[in-house]
Amino acid sequence: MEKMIWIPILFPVLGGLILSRLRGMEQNRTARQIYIMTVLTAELALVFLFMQQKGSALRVFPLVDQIPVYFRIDEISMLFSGLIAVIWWLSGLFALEYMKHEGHERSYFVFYLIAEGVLTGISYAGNLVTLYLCFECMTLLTMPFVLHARTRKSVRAARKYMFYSIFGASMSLGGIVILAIYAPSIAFQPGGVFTAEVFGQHQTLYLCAAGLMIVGFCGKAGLFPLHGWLPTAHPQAPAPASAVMSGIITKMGVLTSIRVAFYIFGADYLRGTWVQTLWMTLAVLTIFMGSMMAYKEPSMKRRFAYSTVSQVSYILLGLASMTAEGMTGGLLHVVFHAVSKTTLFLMSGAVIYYTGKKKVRELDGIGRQMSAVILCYTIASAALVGIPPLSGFVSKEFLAHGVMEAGIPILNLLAPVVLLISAVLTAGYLFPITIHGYFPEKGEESYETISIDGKMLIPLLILGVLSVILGICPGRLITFAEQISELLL
Amino acid sequence: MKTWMLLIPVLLPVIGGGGMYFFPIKEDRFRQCYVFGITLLNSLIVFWMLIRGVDGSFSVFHMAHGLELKFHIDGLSRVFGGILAFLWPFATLYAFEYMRHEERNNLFFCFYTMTYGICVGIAFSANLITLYMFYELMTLSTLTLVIHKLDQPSILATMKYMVYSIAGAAFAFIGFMFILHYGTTTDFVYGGVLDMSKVGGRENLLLFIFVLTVLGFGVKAAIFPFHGWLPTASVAPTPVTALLHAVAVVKAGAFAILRVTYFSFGTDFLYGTWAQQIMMGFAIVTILFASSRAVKEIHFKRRLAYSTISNLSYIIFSASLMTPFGLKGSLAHMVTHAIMKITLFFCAGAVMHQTGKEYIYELKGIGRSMPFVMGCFTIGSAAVMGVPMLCGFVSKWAIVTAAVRTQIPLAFVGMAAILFSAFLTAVYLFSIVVKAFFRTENIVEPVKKEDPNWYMKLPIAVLSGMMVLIGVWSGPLMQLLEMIAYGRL
Amino acid sequence: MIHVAIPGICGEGLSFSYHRWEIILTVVVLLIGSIIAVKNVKKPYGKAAAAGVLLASACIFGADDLFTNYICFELVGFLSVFWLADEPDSHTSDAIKKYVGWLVITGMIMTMGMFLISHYAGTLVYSQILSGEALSGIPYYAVLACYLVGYGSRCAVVMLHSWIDSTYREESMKKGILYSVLLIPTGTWSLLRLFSSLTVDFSQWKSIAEMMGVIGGLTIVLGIYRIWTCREKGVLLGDISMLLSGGLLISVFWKASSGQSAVFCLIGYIVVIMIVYGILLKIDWKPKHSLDLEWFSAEHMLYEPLFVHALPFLFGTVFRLIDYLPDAFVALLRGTIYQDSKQKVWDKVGTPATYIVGSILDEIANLLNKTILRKRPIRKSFVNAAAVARRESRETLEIVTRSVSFGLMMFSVGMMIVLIYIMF
Repeated sequence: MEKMIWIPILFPVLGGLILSRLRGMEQNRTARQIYIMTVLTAELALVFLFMQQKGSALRVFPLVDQIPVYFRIDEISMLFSGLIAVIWWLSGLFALEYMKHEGHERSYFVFYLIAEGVLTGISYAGNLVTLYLCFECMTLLTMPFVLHARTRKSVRAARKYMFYSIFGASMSLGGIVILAIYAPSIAFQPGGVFTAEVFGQHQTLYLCAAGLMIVGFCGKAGLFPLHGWLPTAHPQAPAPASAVMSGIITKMGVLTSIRVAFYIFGADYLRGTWVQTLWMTLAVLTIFMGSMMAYKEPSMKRRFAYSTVSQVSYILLGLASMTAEGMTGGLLHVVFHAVSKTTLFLMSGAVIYYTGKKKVRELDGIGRQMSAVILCYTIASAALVGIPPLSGFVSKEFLAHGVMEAGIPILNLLAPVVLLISAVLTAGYLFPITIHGYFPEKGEESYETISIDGKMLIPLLILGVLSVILGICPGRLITFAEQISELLL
Repeated sequence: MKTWMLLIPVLLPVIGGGGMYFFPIKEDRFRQCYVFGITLLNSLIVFWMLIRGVDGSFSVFHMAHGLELKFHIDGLSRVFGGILAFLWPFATLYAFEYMRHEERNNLFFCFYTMTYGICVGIAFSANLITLYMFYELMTLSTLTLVIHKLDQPSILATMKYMVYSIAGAAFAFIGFMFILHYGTTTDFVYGGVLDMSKVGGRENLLLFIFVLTVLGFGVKAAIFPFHGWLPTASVAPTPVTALLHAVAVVKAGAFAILRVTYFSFGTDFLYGTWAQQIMMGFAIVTILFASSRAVKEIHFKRRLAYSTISNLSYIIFSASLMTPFGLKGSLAHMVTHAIMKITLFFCAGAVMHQTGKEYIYELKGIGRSMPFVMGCFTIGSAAVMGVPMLCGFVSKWAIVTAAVRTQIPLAFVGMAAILFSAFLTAVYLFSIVVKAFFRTENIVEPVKKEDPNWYMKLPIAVLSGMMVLIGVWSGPLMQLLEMIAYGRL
Repeated sequence: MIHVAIPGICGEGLSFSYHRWEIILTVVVLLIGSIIAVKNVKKPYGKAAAAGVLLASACIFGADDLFTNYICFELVGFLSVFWLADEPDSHTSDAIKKYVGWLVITGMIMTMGMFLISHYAGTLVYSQILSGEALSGIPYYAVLACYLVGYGSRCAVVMLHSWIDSTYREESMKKGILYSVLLIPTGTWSLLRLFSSLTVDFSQWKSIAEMMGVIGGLTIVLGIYRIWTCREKGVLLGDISMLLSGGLLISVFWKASSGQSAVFCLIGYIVVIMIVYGILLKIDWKPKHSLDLEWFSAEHMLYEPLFVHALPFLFGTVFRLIDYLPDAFVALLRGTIYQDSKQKVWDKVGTPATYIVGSILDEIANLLNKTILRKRPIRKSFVNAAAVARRESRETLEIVTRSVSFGLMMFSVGMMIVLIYIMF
């Protein structure tokens, strides 16, 4: 069983490749839909099955310089691979109906399935080179999402996405190379691979490598200054793809930075250095900036994209604080934000699919037309703002405490204030859609109800309920996250 | 194995090709069989000799001490010879199809084959005078190939090529003179041949001469500012550009620089001196300059030409590190870049041959009509970019790790330059891929498939396969190169 | 005493303790609240929200720690939004936006206070907050300020009262009474509980009571003024509530050395407000005076100019700049160094250099033609001439270089021969 870790990684990839080759799948929509849901469900089962195999490892072939392609299942793998499988399933179900509107369905689902495999590969990666390999593949394989509409704008957006990602990855490769030569190991170990003497020998070099890698990898998570692609690329993709891009792919940037900061360098050696200060400062800046830009954005999907920029930096702030609570909050927010942001984008998909409206000011009365959808949207928004007893509040509480514990002079108090200002702004850019949706300004028009297809409604409902449940009973998740923080700090 | 057999692979193509000049073959079919037969036979002989190895060297005639034509096989000969022997048959096959509709094919293939023998002569040369002589002969024999089309741009290109090459050779000759005087021998010996007692207090002079020599040979290796001939020479027929200007001629320049650095002047003498910094500086400038020019370039083959210039300077940069790891990196990149770049040129040539399109903006949607060619182009682009699991990553890793190991500040600048150049490579190569596969208009009717026939497809397919193979299974190759780099082979 | 604890909810878990007086208060509020809710709220979701508010209010009265209080407080606030939506009209959208805005902003300020207490004191349990010494000095006052804003806005104290105008505006006052009966007591109770746990001795309590007295007094004054100048009957109820709330603040704080007096004050407040409500329902009321002090509130003096106009403009501009910065850098590079070369065009008519030189000369010629040389104009095209001149010079140069390179080759060969000769 241990040697079969590659199964959850390769299974969706094969599923996608088969989909691209089978003749029947091009024409027969029903067959295709059944096939896709089967693959997604099977992958979900596989991932949760393999979560029981915590600790198993697989060394494949040496890729370069005797460094092997190495996969391993540990707690972080479990958290992220589970999240990927769940969100991918929900968004896949939604996309079955949504993609009728977009066209080129088969090629969308081919890349959708292959990407799931690659992302699971990133979660399972056991050393830096494997991580880099899967990371580069992910960039190349998720580009077709952005390109999907095949308009001039999409091509430009896809180019921007690729260039920012590759620039970030190149920065990180520099760091990886330095570590490959000078660090004791580039396989991940909780708490880092360094000892005090080794770290002291080339301290500046190591810190430069750490800084490069963190900024480079966090570009995927939308950290300033490598955030510019996110508001351009996410809206161009079809809504279910935007959902997984904002919800999951940004988290891959988070995952890689966790691996770098806590499994290679170790919090003990980064705490108090300029790397930590830089990371926290950039995160705080991005939080404020993302919220502010979202507040003023008239296009719905672009607004949500800026919201992602801001919210993912909550997670990065928590990680950068390098305290137990901050880290717990960050990990919790990984899950909570993925759930909420997916809801938001799926809602935008439903709105576009049934009414074609893309700008926020056109959304008057949408609550009367699609009340269930907007209800789920409202719950997700409230969760993102951080209103108790919904999920976002729990993570925000941990984050704020963690940041205050970190004890960095100004950021100590500035960061919680920024968090709260951002929450106010979040309410400011998310709630008006609900309010105008249910209480349109031009109150006289009648709004007829639109019935939503089950395949689109069910994921939204599930996500809405999840937001509530995770907020009221987050116990097990909190314990799990605290376990991880203790392990790493 | 008798040492005189070293002459066979040198003379066989020369005589065989030269024979075609005096006894022209009119019939296409017969000529193809004849040329391919000679080429393949020669390759087999070369491989046999490389594997069996030849002890000692063979002098043709001995004029005076240091002035003899001498051949041997050592580690570097193996690498360069192996590249030539492996790629020449494929290139010949490709050339048959490409030149099908051209005139004066007899003359073309005559010189094409003669060049093969001369290049092997360069690979097998055991001292500087042999290298120099065959170097000049190569210039002469490739002139006819560049001027083949006999139109205004070709003539201009040939003139430029000739001027640059001869000027460069003149500078290199000066180096030869000084080695003759200050060295124990002009033979190539691992570690250098300088006689320190003769050098005395004149280190600076010798360093200066070294720089001149490198720049002299660097003309062929397209170091800035002597690179100008290469983009202009891309007007030649694609088999010429592919083989000569991506593999044989330019690699001969790099090869000569490696010989001069590691086997004549010697790294012990050069390491840590200002000459090393200058050589590194030139390489870094070329890398950045050429990659940047490639982004701007809108002509397909010229863009690839600038990419060649940039990648050659990777080899020269790695050579300038002057450690065994540096040599290993150079050799690795020589091998991988030859394969990658020849594939890219083959694909470009196939496009030009089938559709006549020369400029990038004409390539919209060509992925649909030539899926095979563009598919392999994508693999080649990803390889040049440095995506893991393809060969380019392996050699780039070797170069960058070698740079980091030296801890020279300028080497870190070089590493940053290489990573930035990788990013630029993504920009200028992947935008072609995107353009080819994702066109902006939605055309639904089936497109005529214009992929070339098997003469062209086979080389492209085999070489793409090699890229993946070396990328995934690089162990044996890298171990071999490491042994060569340490002088054990 | 009843003690309930529900661990794990929302992370920290909730816990309540009810002493005798708290039970009485809870029962009274629940009773009166449910009667009003059943009668006044129409839609089912409004009724459900009312049930939620009642439950949450009950929880607030018994809360053991600030966390429980916070959760239930926010629940009360956000669920009470549903009453505004009960009978929608054209103003509903604005009213809800404003109310939610108040909730979110004051809620976040309150959250900051909670974070500060948790960080400095290490606990949120009322009885344990001051056990350590960490919460003193600036954090202490910061906490006071935050919670004053948070709870005070719920009580509609001076400066934090302007939400009344949009929330209470309906003539029937059916929803308004709900806010008066359920929201204001919870706010006052929370204030009391917090401040009593933040003081260790009587002198501290006295100074807090004095502060609350001032605030309450100002609230009363403003309340009277607003009643005097009130224009709508619905808002009148709100103004009266405000007035009573001020009085409540003063009395609760001056008498609240024991829970018993506080409960009496609160129950008294509820009774009075119900009586007022009953009276207002019967009478017909006409506005008398029209002087208005609408600008005198935190909303209009602080929030609007700063947070609606100045800061969004400032930060919006700054962040738009920062957001665009990396892109601007790339755009700059792409526009200058990395611009696509336009080489193809120049091959035919010379190079950019000849074009520029030719154009300049053309312009000069034009100028001259129009002025001095009107009789004998220059008709040559300089762009063309420049291109031709360049081509000719290039050909000459080619010949020269060819000869030079040939000479070089000869020279090299000659040198080789000479050297060989020298060797022997």
